[in-house]
Amino acid sequence: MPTNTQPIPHSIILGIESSCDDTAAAVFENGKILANITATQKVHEQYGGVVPELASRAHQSNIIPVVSEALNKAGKTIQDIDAIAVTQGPGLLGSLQVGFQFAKGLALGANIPFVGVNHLQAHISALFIETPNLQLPMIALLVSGGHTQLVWVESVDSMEIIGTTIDDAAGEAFDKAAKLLGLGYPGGPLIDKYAAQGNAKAYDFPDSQTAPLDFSFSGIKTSLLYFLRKEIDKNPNFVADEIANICASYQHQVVNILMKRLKKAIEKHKPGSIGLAGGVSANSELRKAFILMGEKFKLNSHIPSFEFCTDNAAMIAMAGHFLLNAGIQSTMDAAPFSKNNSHNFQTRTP
Amino acid sequence: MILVLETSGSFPSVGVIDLHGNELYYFQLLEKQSHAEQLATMVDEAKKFVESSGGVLLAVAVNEGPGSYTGLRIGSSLAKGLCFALGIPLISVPGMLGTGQWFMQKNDDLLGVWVMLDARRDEVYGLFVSNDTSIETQPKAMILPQDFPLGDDLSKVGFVGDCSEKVIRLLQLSDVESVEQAFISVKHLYSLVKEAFAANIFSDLAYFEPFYLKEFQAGVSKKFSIS
Repeated sequence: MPTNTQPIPHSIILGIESSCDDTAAAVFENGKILANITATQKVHEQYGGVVPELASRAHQSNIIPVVSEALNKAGKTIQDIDAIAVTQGPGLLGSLQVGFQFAKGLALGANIPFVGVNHLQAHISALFIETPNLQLPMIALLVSGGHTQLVWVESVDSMEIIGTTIDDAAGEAFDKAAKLLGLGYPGGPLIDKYAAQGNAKAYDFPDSQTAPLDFSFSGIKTSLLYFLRKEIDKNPNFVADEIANICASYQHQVVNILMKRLKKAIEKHKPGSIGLAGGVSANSELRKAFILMGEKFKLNSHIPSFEFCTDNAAMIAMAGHFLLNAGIQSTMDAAPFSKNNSHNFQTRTP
Repeated sequence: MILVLETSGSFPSVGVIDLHGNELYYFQLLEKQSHAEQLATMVDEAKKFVESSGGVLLAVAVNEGPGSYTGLRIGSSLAKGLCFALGIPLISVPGMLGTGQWFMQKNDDLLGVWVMLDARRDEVYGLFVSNDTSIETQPKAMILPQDFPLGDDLSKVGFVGDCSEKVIRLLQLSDVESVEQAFISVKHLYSLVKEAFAANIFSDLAYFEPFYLKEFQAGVSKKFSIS
C-alpha cells in the first residue's frame, strides 16, 4: 500500500521498467535524465508477438546489466541513489514481478525508499521530461502496443482517463495487420514505411460505433482480414502487388479513428494543450495529424522524443519523482498488478 | 551470516544461518501463494535480525529450482536486487536435492527417497536421492504413472514432497516404507548453502536464471491469419 511520508525533493532516482518486453533503467537527478538505457528483447520476433513467459525469463538476465549500465552512464553507484521508482502495472505479471521484486531487493539492500509507478501515468509523465512547464490542463493521447487512452491531465499528480479502447490497442492493430501482411514484428514501423509509398484512399476500412471518446480497433483488424482473403482469392499476389496501398489505407484509417476521438475530447473538455505519448507516437502520419489538430484548435501540441515514447525507464523515474515529491512511497508488501482497474490513475493516497 | 530464501513451493520461507550451517533465524509463512506481497517483508525482518545481532550478511542463497515459475522468479529477482545493493555474492542450490538429503538424514535405514513436487494434474517434478552419495541423479518432469520406473524395488524407498500422497495414489502403491507429505522449506537448503559458501561456489549474479527444468515451448498463433 502507498504511504504518505515526507517529500523527497532534489533526489537522485533510479527508474526501473519491465512491464512488457523491454528491460529498462534510468537515472534522474534534479529534473534531468542522466541515463536512459533500454534492452529490447529480440526473442519475440519469431513468434510475431510478445510471449509472456519468454519475456519474464529475458528480464531476469537483462535487469542487472541494464541497471549497471544506467548507473555507469550517470556516473553514480547504487549508494548515490536516494529512491527507486519501478513500474507496478499494468503489464505482463511475470515481467512486472522481475523488475518489481528486484527493486524491492535493491531498496532493502541500499536502505532507501521505493515507489511503485502506474505505467500509463508514466507515459504521460514523459511529456514533462523535455517540457516541464506544459500548459495544464492537457489532454494526452496515449497510444502504444498495449494501451490506447485519452487522459485528462489536471496536474502531474491528478490524471483521469476520459476515453479508452474497448478491445485492442492501436499498436496491436498495427502489429496484427503487419502479421497478416507477412511484414514481421513489431509491425507499426514497417506499415509506416510501406504507407509512405502508397495511396491512403485506395481502400476503405471501417470505424466502429463506440461511446464518443472510446476506441475500438477489433473491427478494422477483422475487416482487413476478410478484405485480404477476398482479394487473394481473386489475385494470389494481391498483398505483394498492393502492399503500399494497403498499408497507407489501413494506417490512414487507424490515425483517423484516433483523431476523431481526440477532436471530440478537445471540443468537450477545452484543454490548455495536447500531448501525444506511447510508442505508436513514432508513426509519421499520426505525428503530422496530431500537430495539425493542435494548430486547428490553436493549442500547443507536445510529442516527446522517441526514446521517451516507447517503454522506457526515464518516464518511470519522472513519474516516481512526482510521487516522491508528493510524499508517496510504497511499502514492502506492495505487489504488481496486471490490469488498471480504476479510471483514475492511482496517484493519490487512498 | 547467510540469508537463505525458499520460494519454489506454495509457502515461502526465509532463514539466516552462520557459516557452519546453524540456523539463527527462521520464518515460514503459512499463507499460500503470498510470495509477491510477503517475501520482501519477510526478508526485511530477517535483515533486521542480522543487524540487531551485530552480524553481517556475506551472501544471499536461493533455491534454484525446479518449482513454481513465479515463485522462483520472485525469489531470485529479490535476491539479485539485495546482492547487487549490498555487493555480496548469490548462491543457488538445488532445493529438491536438499529436501532428499534432509529426509534421508531422518530415515537412514532406507536405500533412497523420491522427492516429488507437484506440477499440476498428473505431472510432478521427481528426483531420486540415493543413500549412496556417489550416485547422482537429475530432476525429471514426469507424468504419472507412465514416466515412473514402477519395475524398481520400492520396498526400501521413501517418498517426500508436497504431493507425496497424490503420487502414491497415482502409482497405486500400497507397501511403501515411508511417505512424508512435506512442503519444501528453507531448512532443507542449509547444508547445501554452507557447502557452496565454503567452496566459494557462487552464481553469476547478473545472468543467473532459475532452473525451470522444462524447456518452454512457444508456438506461433494461427488464430488470426489469412489462410
